[in-house]
Amino acid sequence: MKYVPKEPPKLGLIADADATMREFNRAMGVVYNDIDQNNVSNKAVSWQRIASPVNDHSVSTSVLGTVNPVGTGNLYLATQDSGYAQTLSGPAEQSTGSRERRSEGYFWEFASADSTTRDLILSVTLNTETELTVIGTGQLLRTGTTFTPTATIMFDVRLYSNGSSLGLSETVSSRVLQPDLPFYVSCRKSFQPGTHDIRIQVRDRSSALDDSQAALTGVSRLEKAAICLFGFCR
Amino acid sequence: MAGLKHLISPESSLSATEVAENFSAIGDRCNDLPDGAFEGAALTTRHLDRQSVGTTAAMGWSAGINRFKDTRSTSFEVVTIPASSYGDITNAVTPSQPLANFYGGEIALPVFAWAEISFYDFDAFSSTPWNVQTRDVTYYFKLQYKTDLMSAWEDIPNIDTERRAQAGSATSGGGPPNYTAPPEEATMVLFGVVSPGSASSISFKLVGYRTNVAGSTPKVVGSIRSLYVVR
Repeated sequence: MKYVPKEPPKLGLIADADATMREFNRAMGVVYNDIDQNNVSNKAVSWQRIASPVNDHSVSTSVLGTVNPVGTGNLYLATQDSGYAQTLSGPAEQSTGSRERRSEGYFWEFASADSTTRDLILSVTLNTETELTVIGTGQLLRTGTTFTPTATIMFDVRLYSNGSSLGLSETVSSRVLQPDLPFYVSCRKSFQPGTHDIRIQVRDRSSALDDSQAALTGVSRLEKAAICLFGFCR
Repeated sequence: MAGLKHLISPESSLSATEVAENFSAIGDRCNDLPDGAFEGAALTTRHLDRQSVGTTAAMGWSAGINRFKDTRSTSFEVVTIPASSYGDITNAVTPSQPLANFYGGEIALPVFAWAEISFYDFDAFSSTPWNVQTRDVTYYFKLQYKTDLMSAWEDIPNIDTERRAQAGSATSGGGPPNYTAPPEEATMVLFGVVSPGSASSISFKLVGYRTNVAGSTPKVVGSIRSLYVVR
Protein backbone atom coordinates (compact mmCIF):
# COMPACT_ATOMS: atom_id res chain seq x y z
CA MET A 1 0.00 0.00 0.00
CA LYS A 2 1.37 3.40 -0.93
CA TYR A 3 1.77 5.90 1.87
CA VAL A 4 0.42 9.33 0.97
CA PRO A 5 0.50 12.15 3.58
CA LYS A 6 -2.99 13.49 3.96
CA GLU A 7 -2.74 16.05 6.73
CA PRO A 8 0.76 17.58 6.69
CA PRO A 9 1.20 20.89 8.57
CA LYS A 10 1.01 23.96 6.39
CA LEU A 11 3.44 26.87 6.41
CA GLY A 12 2.22 29.88 8.37
CA LEU A 13 -0.55 28.02 10.10
CA ILE A 14 -0.64 26.68 13.63
CA ALA A 15 -0.27 22.90 13.45
CA ASP A 16 -3.13 20.82 14.71
CA ALA A 17 -1.61 18.36 17.21
CA ASP A 18 -4.37 15.82 16.60
CA ALA A 19 -3.89 16.01 12.82
CA THR A 20 -0.13 15.62 13.19
CA MET A 21 -0.54 12.56 15.37
CA ARG A 22 -3.03 11.09 12.93
CA GLU A 23 -0.45 11.57 10.19
CA PHE A 24 2.25 9.86 12.25
CA ASN A 25 -0.08 6.98 13.00
CA ARG A 26 -1.02 6.67 9.35
CA ALA A 27 2.64 6.54 8.34
CA MET A 28 3.40 4.00 11.05
CA GLY A 29 0.43 1.87 10.07
CA VAL A 30 1.60 1.58 6.47
CA VAL A 31 5.17 0.77 7.45
CA TYR A 32 4.18 -1.87 9.98
CA ASN A 33 1.21 -3.53 8.36
CA ASP A 34 0.65 -2.55 4.78
CA ILE A 35 3.91 -3.02 2.91
CA ASP A 36 3.27 -4.94 -0.28
CA GLN A 37 4.42 -5.07 -3.88
CA ASN A 38 3.31 -1.48 -4.48
CA ASN A 39 6.06 -0.31 -2.16
CA VAL A 40 8.86 -2.08 -4.00
CA SER A 41 10.98 -0.04 -6.39
CA ASN A 42 10.87 -0.98 -10.04
CA LYS A 43 13.58 -3.53 -10.83
CA ALA A 44 14.65 -3.42 -7.19
CA VAL A 45 14.80 -7.13 -6.69
CA SER A 46 18.00 -8.40 -8.19
CA TRP A 47 17.83 -11.92 -9.47
CA GLN A 48 21.46 -12.21 -10.49
CA ARG A 49 23.26 -11.08 -7.35
CA ILE A 50 21.62 -13.42 -4.93
CA ALA A 51 22.65 -16.13 -2.56
CA SER A 52 22.72 -19.65 -3.98
CA PRO A 53 19.85 -21.69 -2.57
CA VAL A 54 22.25 -24.60 -2.19
CA ASN A 55 25.71 -23.21 -1.52
CA ASP A 56 24.45 -20.40 0.69
CA HIS A 57 21.42 -22.21 1.92
CA SER A 58 21.44 -20.54 5.32
CA VAL A 59 20.87 -17.07 3.85
CA SER A 60 19.12 -17.87 0.58
CA THR A 61 15.50 -16.97 0.16
CA SER A 62 14.75 -20.49 -1.07
CA VAL A 63 15.05 -23.86 0.62
CA LEU A 64 16.10 -26.25 -2.13
CA GLY A 65 19.19 -28.07 -0.99
CA THR A 66 22.18 -27.93 1.27
CA VAL A 67 25.91 -28.39 1.05
CA ASN A 68 25.70 -30.43 4.25
CA PRO A 69 23.58 -33.32 3.08
CA VAL A 70 20.69 -34.23 5.32
CA GLY A 71 19.26 -36.81 3.01
CA THR A 72 20.45 -37.87 -0.39
CA GLY A 73 23.19 -35.84 -2.03
CA ASN A 74 22.57 -32.13 -1.72
CA LEU A 75 18.81 -32.53 -1.86
CA TYR A 76 16.31 -32.40 0.94
CA LEU A 77 15.40 -35.97 0.19
CA ALA A 78 15.12 -39.07 2.37
CA THR A 79 14.36 -42.45 0.83
CA GLN A 80 13.86 -46.00 1.93
CA ASP A 81 16.71 -48.34 1.13
CA SER A 82 16.54 -49.74 -2.37
CA GLY A 83 14.98 -53.20 -2.30
CA TYR A 84 13.71 -52.83 1.26
CA ALA A 85 10.05 -53.58 1.85
CA GLN A 86 8.62 -52.74 5.25
CA THR A 87 6.02 -55.14 6.62
CA LEU A 88 3.05 -53.32 8.11
CA SER A 89 0.60 -54.51 10.68
CA GLY A 90 -2.50 -55.90 9.03
CA PRO A 91 -6.03 -56.14 10.34
CA ALA A 92 -6.23 -58.20 13.51
CA GLU A 93 -9.07 -59.91 15.25
CA GLN A 94 -9.89 -58.04 18.40
CA SER A 95 -11.74 -60.63 20.41
CA THR A 96 -13.95 -63.65 20.09
CA GLY A 97 -17.21 -62.79 18.45
CA SER A 98 -16.21 -59.49 16.98
CA ARG A 99 -13.72 -58.29 14.48
CA GLU A 100 -11.72 -55.20 14.88
CA ARG A 101 -13.27 -52.00 13.56
CA ARG A 102 -10.53 -49.45 13.54
CA SER A 103 -11.34 -45.91 14.47
CA GLU A 104 -9.62 -42.67 13.65
CA GLY A 105 -6.24 -42.12 15.23
CA TYR A 106 -5.29 -45.69 15.98
CA PHE A 107 -2.58 -47.87 14.59
CA TRP A 108 -0.55 -45.36 12.67
CA GLU A 109 2.86 -46.74 11.80
CA PHE A 110 5.93 -44.80 10.78
CA ALA A 111 7.66 -45.64 7.53
CA SER A 112 11.02 -47.29 8.19
CA ALA A 113 14.17 -46.43 6.32
CA ASP A 114 15.75 -49.88 6.23
CA SER A 115 15.79 -53.33 7.77
CA THR A 116 16.95 -51.93 11.12
CA THR A 117 13.45 -50.38 11.22
CA ARG A 118 14.79 -46.95 12.08
CA ASP A 119 12.28 -44.34 11.03
CA LEU A 120 12.51 -42.70 7.66
CA ILE A 121 13.13 -39.08 8.64
CA LEU A 122 13.86 -35.97 6.64
CA SER A 123 15.32 -33.44 9.04
CA VAL A 124 15.46 -29.80 8.03
CA THR A 125 16.65 -26.81 10.05
CA LEU A 126 15.18 -23.45 9.15
CA ASN A 127 16.60 -20.07 10.08
CA THR A 128 13.40 -18.22 9.42
CA GLU A 129 9.76 -18.98 8.98
CA THR A 130 9.47 -20.65 5.62
CA GLU A 131 6.67 -21.84 3.45
CA LEU A 132 7.58 -25.41 2.63
CA THR A 133 6.10 -27.87 0.21
CA VAL A 134 6.58 -31.30 1.74
CA ILE A 135 6.05 -34.40 -0.38
CA GLY A 136 5.67 -37.99 0.72
CA THR A 137 5.45 -40.75 -1.83
CA GLY A 138 5.73 -44.52 -1.91
CA GLN A 139 4.25 -47.82 -2.89
CA LEU A 140 1.94 -49.95 -0.76
CA LEU A 141 1.05 -53.52 -1.59
CA ARG A 142 -0.98 -56.28 -0.07
CA THR A 143 -0.33 -59.93 -0.65
CA GLY A 144 -2.42 -62.92 0.33
CA THR A 145 -4.03 -65.03 -2.32
CA THR A 146 -6.78 -66.19 -0.02
CA PHE A 147 -8.12 -62.70 0.46
CA THR A 148 -11.80 -62.55 -0.31
CA PRO A 149 -12.00 -60.36 -3.40
CA THR A 150 -15.15 -58.53 -2.43
CA ALA A 151 -13.41 -56.89 0.50
CA THR A 152 -11.95 -53.43 0.15
CA ILE A 153 -8.30 -53.01 0.95
CA MET A 154 -7.59 -49.54 2.23
CA PHE A 155 -4.67 -47.53 3.55
CA ASP A 156 -4.39 -44.04 4.99
CA VAL A 157 -1.16 -42.12 4.56
CA ARG A 158 -0.16 -38.84 6.18
CA LEU A 159 2.86 -36.64 6.78
CA TYR A 160 4.05 -36.18 10.33
CA SER A 161 6.38 -33.58 11.83
CA ASN A 162 7.67 -32.93 15.33
CA GLY A 163 4.99 -34.84 17.15
CA SER A 164 1.92 -34.04 15.15
CA SER A 165 0.29 -34.67 11.82
CA LEU A 166 0.76 -32.08 9.13
CA GLY A 167 -2.97 -32.24 8.75
CA LEU A 168 -3.26 -33.94 5.44
CA SER A 169 -3.77 -37.52 4.49
CA GLU A 170 -4.62 -39.62 1.54
CA THR A 171 -6.65 -42.79 1.39
CA VAL A 172 -5.85 -45.35 -1.25
CA SER A 173 -8.04 -48.37 -1.76
CA SER A 174 -8.70 -51.28 -4.04
CA ARG A 175 -10.79 -54.40 -4.39
CA VAL A 176 -8.22 -56.31 -6.36
CA LEU A 177 -6.97 -59.59 -4.94
CA GLN A 178 -3.39 -58.47 -4.39
CA PRO A 179 -3.39 -54.73 -4.99
CA ASP A 180 -0.50 -52.37 -5.53
CA LEU A 181 -1.39 -48.97 -4.18
CA PRO A 182 0.91 -46.03 -4.91
CA PHE A 183 0.47 -42.97 -2.75
CA TYR A 184 1.44 -39.31 -2.97
CA VAL A 185 0.78 -36.85 -0.19
CA SER A 186 1.93 -33.26 -0.15
CA CYS A 187 1.43 -30.30 2.06
CA ARG A 188 2.30 -26.64 1.77
CA LYS A 189 2.37 -24.62 4.93
CA SER A 190 4.52 -22.25 6.97
CA PHE A 191 7.11 -23.89 9.17
CA GLN A 192 8.60 -22.08 12.15
CA PRO A 193 12.35 -21.56 12.54
CA GLY A 194 14.08 -24.55 14.06
CA THR A 195 14.51 -28.22 13.28
CA HIS A 196 11.70 -30.24 11.79
CA ASP A 197 11.79 -34.01 11.59
CA ILE A 198 9.37 -35.06 8.91
CA ARG A 199 8.13 -38.63 8.64
CA ILE A 200 5.47 -40.65 6.86
CA GLN A 201 2.74 -42.52 8.72
CA VAL A 202 0.63 -45.30 7.30
CA ARG A 203 -2.27 -47.29 8.67
CA ASP A 204 -3.96 -50.27 7.19
CA ARG A 205 -7.69 -49.69 7.39
CA SER A 206 -8.62 -52.79 5.45
CA SER A 207 -11.64 -54.10 7.20
CA ALA A 208 -11.95 -57.69 8.27
CA LEU A 209 -15.65 -57.19 8.86
CA ASP A 210 -16.79 -58.05 5.37
CA ASP A 211 -14.17 -60.64 4.86
CA SER A 212 -13.34 -64.14 5.84
CA GLN A 213 -10.78 -65.10 8.40
CA ALA A 214 -8.38 -65.56 5.53
CA ALA A 215 -7.96 -61.82 5.26
CA LEU A 216 -5.96 -61.80 8.42
CA THR A 217 -3.23 -63.80 6.77
CA GLY A 218 -2.61 -61.12 4.19
CA VAL A 219 0.59 -59.11 4.42
CA SER A 220 0.87 -55.38 3.83
CA ARG A 221 4.13 -53.85 2.74
CA LEU A 222 5.52 -50.41 2.14
CA GLU A 223 8.40 -49.80 -0.24
CA LYS A 224 10.07 -47.05 -2.27
CA ALA A 225 8.96 -44.45 0.26
CA ALA A 226 10.53 -41.02 -0.08
CA ILE A 227 10.19 -37.63 1.58
CA CYS A 228 11.24 -34.47 -0.21
CA LEU A 229 10.73 -30.77 0.41
CA PHE A 230 11.40 -27.36 -1.00
CA GLY A 231 10.24 -23.96 0.07
CA PHE A 232 10.49 -20.23 -0.03
CA CYS A 233 11.24 -17.74 2.71
CA ARG A 234 9.89 -14.97 0.54
CA MET B 1 15.96 2.27 5.70
CA ALA B 2 16.91 5.94 5.68
CA GLY B 3 15.38 8.16 8.32
CA LEU B 4 13.65 11.50 8.34
CA LYS B 5 14.88 14.44 6.29
CA HIS B 6 14.96 16.70 9.35
CA LEU B 7 16.02 15.18 12.63
CA ILE B 8 13.85 15.86 15.61
CA SER B 9 16.24 16.83 18.42
CA PRO B 10 15.54 17.72 22.08
CA GLU B 11 14.82 21.42 22.63
CA SER B 12 14.97 22.15 18.91
CA SER B 13 12.07 23.12 16.75
CA LEU B 14 10.92 22.22 13.28
CA SER B 15 8.98 24.47 11.04
CA ALA B 16 5.72 23.29 9.57
CA THR B 17 7.44 22.91 6.23
CA GLU B 18 10.13 20.70 7.75
CA VAL B 19 7.53 18.53 9.42
CA ALA B 20 5.72 18.21 6.09
CA GLU B 21 8.99 17.28 4.41
CA ASN B 22 9.57 14.61 7.03
CA PHE B 23 6.25 13.07 6.15
CA SER B 24 7.16 13.21 2.47
CA ALA B 25 10.50 11.52 3.25
CA ILE B 26 8.66 8.69 4.97
CA GLY B 27 6.42 8.40 1.93
CA ASP B 28 9.37 8.36 -0.49
CA ARG B 29 11.13 5.57 1.36
CA CYS B 30 8.02 3.58 2.06
CA ASN B 31 6.90 3.71 -1.55
CA ASP B 32 10.25 2.92 -3.12
CA LEU B 33 11.71 0.10 -1.10
CA PRO B 34 14.92 -1.56 -2.31
CA ASP B 35 15.52 -5.30 -2.18
CA GLY B 36 17.60 -5.02 0.98
CA ALA B 37 14.75 -3.51 2.94
CA PHE B 38 13.02 -6.85 3.37
CA GLU B 39 13.72 -9.42 5.99
CA GLY B 40 13.49 -13.03 4.94
CA ALA B 41 9.93 -14.28 5.29
CA ALA B 42 8.60 -10.71 5.46
CA LEU B 43 7.56 -10.85 1.84
CA THR B 44 7.11 -13.81 -0.44
CA THR B 45 7.77 -13.82 -4.14
CA ARG B 46 4.04 -13.92 -4.61
CA HIS B 47 3.96 -10.33 -3.45
CA LEU B 48 6.25 -9.10 -6.18
CA ASP B 49 4.89 -7.97 -9.50
CA ARG B 50 6.65 -8.02 -12.86
CA GLN B 51 7.93 -4.48 -12.56
CA SER B 52 9.59 -5.02 -9.22
CA VAL B 53 11.42 -8.10 -10.45
CA GLY B 54 12.78 -6.57 -13.64
CA THR B 55 12.05 -7.09 -17.28
CA THR B 56 15.33 -7.96 -18.98
CA ALA B 57 14.84 -11.25 -20.76
CA ALA B 58 17.64 -13.76 -20.31
CA MET B 59 18.24 -17.48 -20.52
CA GLY B 60 15.06 -17.88 -22.53
CA TRP B 61 13.01 -17.19 -19.45
CA SER B 62 9.99 -14.98 -19.56
CA ALA B 63 10.14 -11.78 -17.59
CA GLY B 64 8.78 -11.01 -14.18
CA ILE B 65 8.07 -13.50 -11.49
CA ASN B 66 9.05 -16.42 -13.72
CA ARG B 67 12.63 -15.39 -13.03
CA PHE B 68 12.33 -17.09 -9.70
CA LYS B 69 10.44 -20.20 -10.65
CA ASP B 70 9.97 -21.70 -14.05
CA THR B 71 7.70 -24.55 -15.02
CA ARG B 72 7.56 -26.65 -18.14
CA SER B 73 4.54 -28.84 -18.62
CA THR B 74 2.59 -30.76 -21.18
CA SER B 75 -0.50 -32.89 -21.18
CA PHE B 76 -1.26 -35.91 -23.27
CA GLU B 77 -4.47 -37.39 -24.52
CA VAL B 78 -5.63 -40.95 -24.18
CA VAL B 79 -2.61 -43.02 -25.11
CA THR B 80 -2.16 -46.75 -25.53
CA ILE B 81 0.27 -48.23 -23.02
CA PRO B 82 3.08 -50.47 -24.25
CA ALA B 83 2.77 -54.13 -23.28
CA SER B 84 5.14 -56.22 -21.21
CA SER B 85 8.16 -53.92 -21.04
CA TYR B 86 8.85 -50.24 -20.54
CA GLY B 87 8.21 -47.98 -23.50
CA ASP B 88 7.40 -44.36 -24.18
CA ILE B 89 4.02 -42.90 -23.46
CA THR B 90 3.35 -40.79 -26.54
CA ASN B 91 3.73 -37.05 -25.91
CA ALA B 92 4.42 -37.51 -22.18
CA VAL B 93 7.63 -35.45 -22.32
CA THR B 94 8.19 -32.07 -20.72
CA PRO B 95 9.48 -29.30 -23.00
CA SER B 96 13.18 -28.63 -22.47
CA GLN B 97 13.75 -26.61 -19.32
CA PRO B 98 16.64 -24.10 -19.54
CA LEU B 99 18.75 -24.25 -16.40
CA ALA B 100 19.92 -20.74 -15.60
CA ASN B 101 23.10 -20.97 -13.55
CA PHE B 102 23.86 -17.80 -11.64
CA TYR B 103 26.23 -19.56 -9.30
CA GLY B 104 29.10 -20.55 -11.56
CA GLY B 105 30.99 -23.56 -10.31
CA GLU B 106 28.65 -24.14 -7.43
CA ILE B 107 26.39 -27.06 -6.74
CA ALA B 108 23.55 -27.41 -9.22
CA LEU B 109 20.06 -26.55 -8.17
CA PRO B 110 17.56 -29.39 -8.15
CA VAL B 111 14.76 -29.73 -10.66
CA PHE B 112 11.49 -31.27 -9.53
CA ALA B 113 9.15 -33.29 -11.72
CA TRP B 114 5.63 -34.61 -11.42
CA ALA B 115 3.39 -36.75 -13.58
CA GLU B 116 -0.29 -36.90 -12.79
CA ILE B 117 -1.99 -39.64 -14.69
CA SER B 118 -5.10 -41.76 -14.79
CA PHE B 119 -5.36 -45.07 -16.51
CA TYR B 120 -8.02 -47.64 -17.25
CA ASP B 121 -9.20 -50.44 -19.48
CA PHE B 122 -10.63 -48.64 -22.48
CA ASP B 123 -12.79 -51.61 -23.43
CA ALA B 124 -14.50 -51.73 -20.08
CA PHE B 125 -15.46 -48.07 -20.32
CA SER B 126 -16.65 -48.18 -23.90
CA SER B 127 -19.66 -50.23 -22.91
CA THR B 128 -22.27 -49.73 -20.22
CA PRO B 129 -20.63 -50.25 -16.84
CA TRP B 130 -21.39 -53.61 -15.30
CA ASN B 131 -21.97 -55.07 -18.77
CA VAL B 132 -18.34 -55.74 -19.48
CA GLN B 133 -16.07 -57.88 -17.40
CA THR B 134 -13.29 -55.84 -15.83
CA ARG B 135 -9.83 -57.26 -16.01
CA ASP B 136 -7.03 -57.31 -13.55
CA VAL B 137 -4.37 -55.47 -15.52
CA THR B 138 -1.32 -54.25 -13.61
CA TYR B 139 0.13 -50.95 -14.76
CA TYR B 140 3.74 -49.82 -14.28
CA PHE B 141 5.02 -46.27 -14.68
CA LYS B 142 8.19 -44.36 -13.88
CA LEU B 143 9.89 -41.08 -14.69
CA GLN B 144 13.08 -40.67 -16.67
CA TYR B 145 15.20 -37.63 -17.41
CA LYS B 146 17.69 -36.42 -19.97
CA THR B 147 19.95 -33.37 -19.96
CA ASP B 148 21.86 -31.79 -22.83
CA LEU B 149 24.94 -33.62 -21.53
CA MET B 150 23.39 -37.08 -21.76
CA SER B 151 22.99 -39.20 -24.86
CA ALA B 152 20.11 -41.32 -23.58
CA TRP B 153 17.21 -41.19 -21.16
CA GLU B 154 17.99 -42.51 -17.71
CA ASP B 155 16.08 -43.40 -14.58
CA ILE B 156 16.14 -40.72 -11.92
CA PRO B 157 18.94 -41.46 -9.43
CA ASN B 158 18.50 -41.55 -5.64
CA ILE B 159 14.74 -41.86 -5.76
CA ASP B 160 12.87 -44.83 -7.18
CA THR B 161 9.97 -43.32 -9.10
CA GLU B 162 8.50 -46.59 -10.35
CA ARG B 163 4.92 -47.10 -9.21
CA ARG B 164 2.44 -49.82 -10.04
CA ALA B 165 -1.29 -50.20 -9.60
CA GLN B 166 -4.36 -51.92 -10.91
CA ALA B 167 -7.37 -50.25 -12.44
CA GLY B 168 -10.13 -52.76 -12.11
CA SER B 169 -10.98 -55.77 -10.12
CA ALA B 170 -10.32 -59.39 -10.74
CA THR B 171 -13.84 -59.95 -9.54
CA SER B 172 -16.00 -60.75 -12.50
CA GLY B 173 -18.62 -63.19 -11.33
CA GLY B 174 -22.30 -62.69 -12.03
CA GLY B 175 -22.24 -62.30 -15.79
CA PRO B 176 -23.63 -59.34 -17.72
CA PRO B 177 -25.23 -57.07 -16.68
CA ASN B 178 -24.51 -58.13 -13.15
CA TYR B 179 -20.76 -58.35 -12.82
CA THR B 180 -19.71 -57.81 -9.26
CA ALA B 181 -17.23 -55.07 -9.99
CA PRO B 182 -17.56 -51.96 -12.17
CA PRO B 183 -14.74 -50.74 -14.40
CA GLU B 184 -12.37 -48.49 -12.52
CA GLU B 185 -10.15 -45.62 -13.48
CA ALA B 186 -7.07 -45.48 -11.30
CA THR B 187 -4.96 -42.39 -10.69
CA MET B 188 -1.34 -41.97 -9.78
CA VAL B 189 1.09 -39.16 -9.07
CA LEU B 190 4.76 -39.80 -9.76
CA PHE B 191 7.40 -37.54 -8.29
CA GLY B 192 11.10 -37.20 -8.94
CA VAL B 193 13.91 -34.74 -8.31
CA VAL B 194 17.26 -34.39 -10.06
CA SER B 195 20.38 -32.31 -9.49
CA PRO B 196 21.48 -31.90 -13.09
CA GLY B 197 25.08 -30.87 -12.44
CA SER B 198 26.46 -28.47 -15.01
CA ALA B 199 23.81 -29.24 -17.62
CA SER B 200 22.11 -26.31 -19.27
CA SER B 201 18.76 -27.94 -20.02
CA ILE B 202 16.69 -30.88 -18.83
CA SER B 203 13.56 -32.80 -19.82
CA PHE B 204 11.51 -35.45 -18.09
CA LYS B 205 9.37 -38.15 -19.60
CA LEU B 206 6.92 -40.77 -18.48
CA VAL B 207 7.46 -44.37 -19.47
CA GLY B 208 5.24 -47.30 -18.70
CA TYR B 209 3.91 -50.73 -19.51
CA ARG B 210 1.15 -53.06 -18.42
CA THR B 211 0.58 -56.75 -18.12
CA ASN B 212 -1.03 -58.54 -21.02
CA VAL B 213 -4.59 -59.57 -20.29
CA ALA B 214 -6.71 -60.78 -23.17
CA GLY B 215 -9.67 -58.58 -24.02
CA SER B 216 -8.31 -55.41 -22.45
CA THR B 217 -7.13 -52.16 -24.04
CA PRO B 218 -5.28 -50.27 -21.29
CA LYS B 219 -4.83 -46.54 -21.86
CA VAL B 220 -3.43 -43.61 -19.94
CA VAL B 221 -4.12 -39.88 -19.92
CA GLY B 222 -2.54 -37.10 -17.90
CA SER B 223 0.09 -34.43 -17.64
CA ILE B 224 3.75 -34.11 -16.74
CA ARG B 225 5.58 -31.02 -15.50
CA SER B 226 8.92 -29.86 -14.19
CA LEU B 227 9.74 -27.06 -11.77
CA TYR B 228 13.02 -25.20 -11.60
CA VAL B 229 13.60 -22.68 -8.84
CA VAL B 230 16.38 -20.12 -9.05
CA ARG B 231 15.60 -18.06 -6.07
